[in-house]
Amino acid sequence: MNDEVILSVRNLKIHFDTEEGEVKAIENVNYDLRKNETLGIVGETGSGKSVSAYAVMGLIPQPPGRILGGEIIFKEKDLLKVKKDEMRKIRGNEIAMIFQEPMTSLNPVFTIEEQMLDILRAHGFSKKDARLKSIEALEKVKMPDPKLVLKKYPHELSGGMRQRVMIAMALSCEPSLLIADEPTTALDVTVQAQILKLLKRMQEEYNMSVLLITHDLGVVAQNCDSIAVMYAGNIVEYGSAEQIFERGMHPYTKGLLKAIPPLEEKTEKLNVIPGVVPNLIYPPQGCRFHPRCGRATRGKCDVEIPTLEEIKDDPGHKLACFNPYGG
Amino acid sequence: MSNFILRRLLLLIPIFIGVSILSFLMMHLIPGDPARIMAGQDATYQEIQSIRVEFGLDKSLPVQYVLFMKGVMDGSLKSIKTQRPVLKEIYPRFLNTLELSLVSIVISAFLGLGFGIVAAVKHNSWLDNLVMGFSLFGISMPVFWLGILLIIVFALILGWLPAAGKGGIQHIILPSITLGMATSAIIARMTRASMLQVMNQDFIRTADAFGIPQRKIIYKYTLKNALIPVVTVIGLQFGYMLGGAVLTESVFGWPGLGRFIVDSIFARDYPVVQVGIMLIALTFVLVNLLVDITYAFLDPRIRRR
Amino acid sequence: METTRRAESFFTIMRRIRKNKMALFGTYIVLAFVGIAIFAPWISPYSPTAQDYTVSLQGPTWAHPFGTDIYGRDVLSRVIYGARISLGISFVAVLVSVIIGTILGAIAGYFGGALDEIIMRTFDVFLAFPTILLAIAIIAILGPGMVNIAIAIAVYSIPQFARVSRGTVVSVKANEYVEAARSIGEGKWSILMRYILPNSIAPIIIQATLRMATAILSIAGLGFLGLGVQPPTPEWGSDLSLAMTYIQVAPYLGIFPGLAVFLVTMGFNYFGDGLNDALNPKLKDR
Repeated sequence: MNDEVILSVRNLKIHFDTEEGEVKAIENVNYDLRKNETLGIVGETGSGKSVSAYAVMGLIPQPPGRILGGEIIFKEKDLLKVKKDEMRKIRGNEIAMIFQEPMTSLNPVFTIEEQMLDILRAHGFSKKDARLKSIEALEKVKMPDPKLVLKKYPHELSGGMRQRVMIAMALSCEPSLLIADEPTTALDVTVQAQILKLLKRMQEEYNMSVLLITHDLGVVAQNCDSIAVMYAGNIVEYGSAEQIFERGMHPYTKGLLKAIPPLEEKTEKLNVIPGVVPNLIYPPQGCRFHPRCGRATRGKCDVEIPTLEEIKDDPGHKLACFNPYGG
Repeated sequence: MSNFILRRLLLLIPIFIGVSILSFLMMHLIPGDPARIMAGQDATYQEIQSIRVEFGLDKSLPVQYVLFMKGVMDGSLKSIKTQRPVLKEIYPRFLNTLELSLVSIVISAFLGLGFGIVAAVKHNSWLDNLVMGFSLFGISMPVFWLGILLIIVFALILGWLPAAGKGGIQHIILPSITLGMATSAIIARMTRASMLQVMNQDFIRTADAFGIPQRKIIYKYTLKNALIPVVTVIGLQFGYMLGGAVLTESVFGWPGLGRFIVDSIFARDYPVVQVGIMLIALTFVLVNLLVDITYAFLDPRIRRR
Repeated sequence: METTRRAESFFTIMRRIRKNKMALFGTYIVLAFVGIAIFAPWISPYSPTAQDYTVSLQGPTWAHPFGTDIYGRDVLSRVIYGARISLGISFVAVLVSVIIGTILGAIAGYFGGALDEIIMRTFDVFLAFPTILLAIAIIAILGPGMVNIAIAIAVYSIPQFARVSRGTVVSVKANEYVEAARSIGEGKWSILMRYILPNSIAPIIIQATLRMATAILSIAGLGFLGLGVQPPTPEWGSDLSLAMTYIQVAPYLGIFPGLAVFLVTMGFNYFGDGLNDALNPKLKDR
């Protein structure tokens, strides 16, 4: 891994206007992603992990979304200041994204070929080159008989095949950053493992940086160099995979670690941490985790907001907690 | 695919039979003696008897039904007024109605799709509100009143277009606008709703995430998906036009089948009424079948089944 | 499914309607015409059938703001009394259709099986006829007259209500609280009455409002064709048909009865549309 930072998110703050009130989805998010690094962003549904990824893609609908502050620096450009047309050229080309639902993420009325060619042609490839490129990409993801697959409609492929097609689409323009939003959640366990392995191999082969978004620390364990744990719009702990798994200190991280399902089982939700993600229209005062936290202290955790700070004896390991484990 | 069409065709049979039975039964649902009703109030006993025999009204209902259907096919069922085979009387009028409906549906599909797409793309803007408001306006407009207003303005005041009759292109302009107004409003609403629904789908987000140009997302990725239910509506509306054209035909003196049926009701020419209604209903059902098949062509997920 | 959600408070719905200007506008128009229909004898300046040949085919004047027809009858008075005929017949027809259609649809949806097939396939045959044509056929059978027009409208409306109520019933039936009621041994009829019908009310009301608009258009349409309410009873459609005869000399006759049909229909459509948005708010926000 080299030290060149490819993506840097600084003080990102995003709210959404809804009929019920203002949803404070992202309060203050900071992270760096280096070249060839895989960063896992982990959290429950509603933690803001996907919103932060969509923000990088410039896919936050405004309205109802409002980006209230921060910077997203990608290759020395602030993506929040880039014009719409220019952003469109970056998307799919330099930054690609794959999604959770391979069932619904592909257009049902066009063949795979039609959809792959459109992406490549949108980024300046000729029709002939686009065809060669898409066959090549399908071969790379170990798709048997790419030429036949090109002629298929999405509904004619299995879930795992569709996700492979999605990955091939994402790789076809050779992006330097790949965002994977819960790429394996909708798949069954054996396919999950294959897709994760594939992503890992593709990352090495294409020299990509990967932002892997998931609710499942188990997925992160196999694939990620660094991990950011998100809760209710904030990163609560950040560090290398080793730091998080061996020396995770935040009560929420601890809870997630306990909730990792055994590999062969597939679970939809993490039920081990009691309580639910708070209503982000009226988030809790102080530390947003304190109502669910067994270590919260009155007059401190419910009043003051902890900031994400590096732990003294553990360089790179950051934590936002007043009463961490082992602290 | 051929399997799909075959199955749909088979499903048509019971509806065809149902429709023809209902049309046949019409005569028998009228309170009183059908022969006497057909013969008219001043008919003599002999005249009533000859009608009874001619139409087989002295036989049992199932036999009468078979005779009726046979009569329609071989031309032995004749119009009471003109004594010509009913189908021969009906056919040219049916073509006139078809002509008017076709021109109308083309115009309204064009307008409806255009306005619907614009409203969806400019969702929640003043333009969207205008299209939506205007479409409810169009749906509420009684066709005969719209026809009268158009006649007053374009025929009487401005003198640009003829008020009635059938002839060149200028004769079909006002009737087709009149007939197509409500339909274009319905198509516009449907197109808008369908576009908005598709725009919220995951695969549109995917296309966006891969940097597909905005225009292509709207006119290719969204539109083809959105068209599927709209095509259904266009087809259904075309079917309704065939029957609903009667009012437009009345306003503009257009020699169509609807107007002919109404005139025949007044003339007590019941065979014409029965066969006319049956023909329109059957065409309506057939159009619906064509819609289903088009639907399958547009949506590969259905095609395979 | 929206329809399976428990009923929202009446006030939430009213608030949403009040926020929706179009719905409010529709409501006012409908209320205005209901008022006109009820108070017709007090607000109309003349008898709608009184003939006065000295003022035949006069354009709008102070004495006759909407003008007079060939028989010298006051058009304003005829338009006012026309509201009674139009709203009266359509209300009765729609009410009858709601009752019969909802019950038949609910039975078909709830009991399913052969009963469902028989009821719904029969309605399919009726739906194979374009509505106005079915109405014409029924009038051809029964002859013109107010009751027969109401029957004609009911015949093509019943299948529509049956479809709506069957659809809701099928989706509500699968719901947990219905399952629960069944498991504690409540009878089929009791479940149908206590849990399922109340949930069908919203979509039925929306459908009924929109059907009122269609019914008013049909009454006027039949009247225009000469198959509706017979003269000299004041009816908008037949008055328009009379106006067609004299359109060259008295085009103003073609304006006001048609405007009345248009306004009431629009009122019901706007109201129904607003009601739909108020009951299914999410659809609008998209």
